[in-house]
Amino acid sequence: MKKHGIDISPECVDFVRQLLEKDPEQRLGSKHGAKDLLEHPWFASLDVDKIKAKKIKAPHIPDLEDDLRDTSNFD
Amino acid sequence: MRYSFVTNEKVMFLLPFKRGGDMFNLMRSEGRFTEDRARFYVLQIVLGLGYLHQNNVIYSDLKPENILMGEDGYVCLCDFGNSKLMNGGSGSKPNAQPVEGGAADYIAPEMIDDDNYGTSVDWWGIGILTYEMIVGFPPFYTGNRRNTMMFK
Repeated sequence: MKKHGIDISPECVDFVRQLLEKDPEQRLGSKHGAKDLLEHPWFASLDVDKIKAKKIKAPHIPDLEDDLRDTSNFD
Repeated sequence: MRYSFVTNEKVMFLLPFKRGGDMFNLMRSEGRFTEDRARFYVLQIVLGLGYLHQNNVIYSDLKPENILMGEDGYVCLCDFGNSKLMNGGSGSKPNAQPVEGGAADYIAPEMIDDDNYGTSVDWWGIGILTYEMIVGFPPFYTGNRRNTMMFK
């Protein structure tokens, strides 16, 4: 699916649509909480246990000065 | 949480310092994320919210400003000033009106006229967050943060 010139997978569109459901009783997550979201096909490619153990390399490592007092990432 | 103490007026929490900055600034500087990258962040926030819900806490203030990044590139939630306990606990009355620009984009429809909302408001927030990370702006954005379409 293409919107705003961005390619988005059908799984992602479905995930967002089910979350932006106006009726909170029908919304994804209303039945079994976080489990409902984690079992959605959009997350199929990610191993939840590995994320919990921080075993997956993050897609972006923040730029940091060596100085532990560095607060340049805050304004 | 590392430590907490009480002054005459306030309860203070001492939290770990997350040096990587917040998601709001990261999204502002990068425009938008690939789906893979957004998925990595969203999954962690879902885990965090799930943990809060298990402990009967509704977070109810999801927005990029409240997501902090550690040195390892993993994210966590901060700012529990809007959180409330489920089942009429001693949590403060949630502030459903936008305090300042930004939060309005993330308010679930049922929060606008009902103080009795549940954990599902956080899942609505995940929907908004996922959309904003991938598209670059939130779904009901009209160009004016005070004029989000939800209030029409």
